Amino acid sequence: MADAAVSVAPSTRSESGASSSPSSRRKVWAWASLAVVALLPISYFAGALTRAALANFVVVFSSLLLQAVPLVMMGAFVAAIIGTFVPASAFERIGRLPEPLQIPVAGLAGFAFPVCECGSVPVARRLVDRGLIPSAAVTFMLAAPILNPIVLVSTSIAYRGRDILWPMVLGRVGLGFVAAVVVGWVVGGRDRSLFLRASASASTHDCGCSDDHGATGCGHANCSHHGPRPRWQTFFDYFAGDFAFMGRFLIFGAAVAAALQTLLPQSILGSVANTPVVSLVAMMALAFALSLCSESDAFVAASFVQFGVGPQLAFLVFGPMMDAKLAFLYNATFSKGFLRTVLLVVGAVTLVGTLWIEVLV
Amino acid sequence: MRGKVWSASRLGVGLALAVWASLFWFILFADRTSFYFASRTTWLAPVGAIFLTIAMVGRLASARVDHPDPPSGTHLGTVLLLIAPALLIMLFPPVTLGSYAVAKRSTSIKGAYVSVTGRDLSKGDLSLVDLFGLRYTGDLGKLAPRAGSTSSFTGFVSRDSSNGADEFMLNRFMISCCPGDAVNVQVRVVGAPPGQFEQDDWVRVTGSIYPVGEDVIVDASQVEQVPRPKHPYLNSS
Repeated sequence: MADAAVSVAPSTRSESGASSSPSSRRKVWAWASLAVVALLPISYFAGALTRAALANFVVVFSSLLLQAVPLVMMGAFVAAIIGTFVPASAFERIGRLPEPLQIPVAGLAGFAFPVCECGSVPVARRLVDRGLIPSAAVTFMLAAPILNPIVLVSTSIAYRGRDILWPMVLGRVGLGFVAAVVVGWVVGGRDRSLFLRASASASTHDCGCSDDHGATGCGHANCSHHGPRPRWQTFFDYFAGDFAFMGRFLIFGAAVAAALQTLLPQSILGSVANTPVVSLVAMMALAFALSLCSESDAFVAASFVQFGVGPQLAFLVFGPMMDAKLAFLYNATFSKGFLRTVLLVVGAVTLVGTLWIEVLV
Repeated sequence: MRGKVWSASRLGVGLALAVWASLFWFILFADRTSFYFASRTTWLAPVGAIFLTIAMVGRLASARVDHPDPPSGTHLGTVLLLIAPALLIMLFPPVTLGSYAVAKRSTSIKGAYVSVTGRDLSKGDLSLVDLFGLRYTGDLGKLAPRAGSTSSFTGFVSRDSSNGADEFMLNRFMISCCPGDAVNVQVRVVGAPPGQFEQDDWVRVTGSIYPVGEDVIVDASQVEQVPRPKHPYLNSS
């Protein structure tokens, strides 16, 4: 009966992001976020931040947010469709494949789903909820923002007319796929129940009722007193719930990225552009700091013409898998250690791969 | 059996979605997209407005539940955190990157787009986009035959320690997706009226151009203060 999508539950964490059992850590996190936001006007009025610096921060912060929010909503929309209308059996079929095959298949599925890195996190979370093994869901999450058709087209447009067009497009696809698969294999051994943080998992109360299930849960062991919700309501539980869940971390990540751009002169990077390895690491660090969307980051990478093919490719492969805003999203969504694993594996694969491509080109 | 009641947390998220949807509609109707989006990414504004509106309507329509969570400080804090940036953007007048960002952004980057110009630059008025493209291809030297010809540029004023009393840098940021990836395009203006223009003033400079190495110098014959352009950033397409 797992086929019946309607029987699968709506999101059951609280809309405002509170978990089924809100901990003091969550409250501390929420108030710390508010404190960080409040710190800027306080710093300004205390004279520690000039008006020009504050304006610079606001411009970058708002533009990053306004660019990311529509893409997050598109991703949440796709995730809601998967959660509401795609039967669990669709994923069970993938789940029946031999595990070594599940991971590359999930990675290649990225070609078919136009979701960016912000949107792929809720999709991956939903895939785990729907029965896909965590390693395959992670592989999809990391591969989709690089392999999806919109990103490939935007990368082609950014490098159109340059002799490095094909090394950039094919290198991005190849390295992105390899890095995603390797991360998938590395996290493959983790237990599903330990993979998602409790607050990010929607599997705790799959009763299909119309309760909040936030701070208190429904209080009934089998939820038999509830009728199933109409499917459209389930859809909006997912859709709006992902906005509330992802929005907080997006705001925090955009604030960090804007602060780095406000305080860190980008011209510093120019001095390292001609140093091998260091230039790669520098571009990966820049991708982390800028936290740009994979659907538009190729235009930025193309502007760094003082850097060679390798560093530009490192920017385009590393950024969609690991940046400041994603770090917050990963930390909020996945269990302890996941962020470190992705950082190390993606960093290592990107470094080795781009060094190799730089030698080849 | 109890009837359904309004859920505070769902209403809170509905409110946050409403504020964000209003922000995107506001940006569209107030024609402010050029402050936040490049021409390549302007499509995101209507997409955001539509998706957020759909989510808001759906959320509010399904906000009555059997057993709502009691309102809590955490819920309130999260909703405030979601709403605050949208209100900040909506209520404050739009600001643009200015002289502060000039010091933070690279000017040594040669550019980004071969195809930004692609036209015959041996005649006609030069633009900052043209200069951007020439820096990208390393072809500023091609301007040599045009040394002494007249062009006009619009941008904002910045000064550094190398500027004399009658000099300033005229800047304009080129964006490819948003101001987050802005790259500065600048020319050095000489022969300007001393002390007349402040940092971040928008000016239109007309004068003779002289390419010198990686720089372009404009010997100003006329400098006039102008309002900030409707499209403050340069776009590559």
